[in-house]
Amino acid sequence: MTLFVVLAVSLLIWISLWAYLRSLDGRIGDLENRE
Amino acid sequence: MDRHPTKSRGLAWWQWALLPLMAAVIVMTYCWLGPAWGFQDPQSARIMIWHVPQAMLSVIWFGIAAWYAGRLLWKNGAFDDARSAKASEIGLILTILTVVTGALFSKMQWAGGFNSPWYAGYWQWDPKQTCALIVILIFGAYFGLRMSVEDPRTRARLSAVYALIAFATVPFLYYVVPQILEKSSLHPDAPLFKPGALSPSYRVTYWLSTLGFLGITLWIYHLQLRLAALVERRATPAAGPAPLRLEAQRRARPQNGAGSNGRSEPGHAREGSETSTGPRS
Repeated sequence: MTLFVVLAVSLLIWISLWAYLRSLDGRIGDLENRE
Repeated sequence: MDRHPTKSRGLAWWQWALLPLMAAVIVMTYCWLGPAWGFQDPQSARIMIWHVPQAMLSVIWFGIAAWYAGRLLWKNGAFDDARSAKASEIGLILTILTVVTGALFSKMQWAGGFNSPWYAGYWQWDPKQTCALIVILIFGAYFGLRMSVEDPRTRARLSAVYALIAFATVPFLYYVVPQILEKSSLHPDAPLFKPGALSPSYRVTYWLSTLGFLGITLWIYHLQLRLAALVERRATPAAGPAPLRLEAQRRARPQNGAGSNGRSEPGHAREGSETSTGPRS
C-alpha cells in the first residue's frame, strides 16, 4: 500500500515538473522570438 | 560570436521522451523491482535508484563547470562564465538532493526506520555523508564569491579559478576520503555495481534513472543558458538597428565621448568597456 502511495506521489511530482519545464521552455521561446 | 543558440522551435524529441522514460523508471522502481535483500530495510533501499544517479551526475556537472572555467581562463570565451556558473548550480542542486535522499536512506537503514523517533537518524556522520556536506559548503562559497563581485569580468575570472580548485576537491572527497575511512563507513560497498549483490533489474533501473536525470539536468541547463543569453543580449545590444526607445534616449542625451551608447540601466557592465576591474570596496 505504502509503495503505491509513494508511486502515485512520485508520478504526480514528475509529471508536474515536466509540465513546468515545458511551460518554461515555451515562455523563453516566446521571449526569444520577440527579439 | 561565442553565443549560446537562442531560437526556440518547440521541444526536442529527447525532451518529449523524458516524460515516459522517467515515468517508466518510477513505475519500475516501485512495482517491478523486488526488495533489496541484504539491506536492513529492503523495501526503502529502492531510494538508491534516485540517490546514486544524483551523486554521480553532480560530479559530472561539477566537471563540466570546471571545463568551461578552464576554457574561460584559456580562451576568454564570452559566454563561458555563464556555462560554468549554470553547471555549478546544477551540480550543487544534485548534491543537495543526494544529501536529502541519503538522509532518508540513513534514517531507514541505519537508525531503525519508524522504530526511532521522527527527528532522529537522518545524520550519522558517515564519511560519504560528511564529504557530500563539505562539497555543498565548498560550492555554496562559490556562489557567495560570485555574489560579492560586481564587475562581470573580475567575477568571471575569480569564479573560474575557484571552480577549478573546487572541482579538484570533489574526487578526493567523494572517492579517496571514503576509501581511507572505509572501516568506519556505514555505506554499503557499491551494491549496484558489484556482480551478484543485487538482481540485474536494479542495474537496468539505475541506468535508466541516470539517463533520465541526465536528460532533466541537460534541459534545465539549456533553459538557463538561453535565459542568460537573452539577458546578455538585452544588456549589450548587437550592432544593427537599435530599438526605438534606445534611439530616442541617445538623441535626448548630449554626446559625451566614445563608448557611450545611451544605455541607462544600472549594474550592466558592457563587454570590452573600460570599467574598474577591482572588487567593490
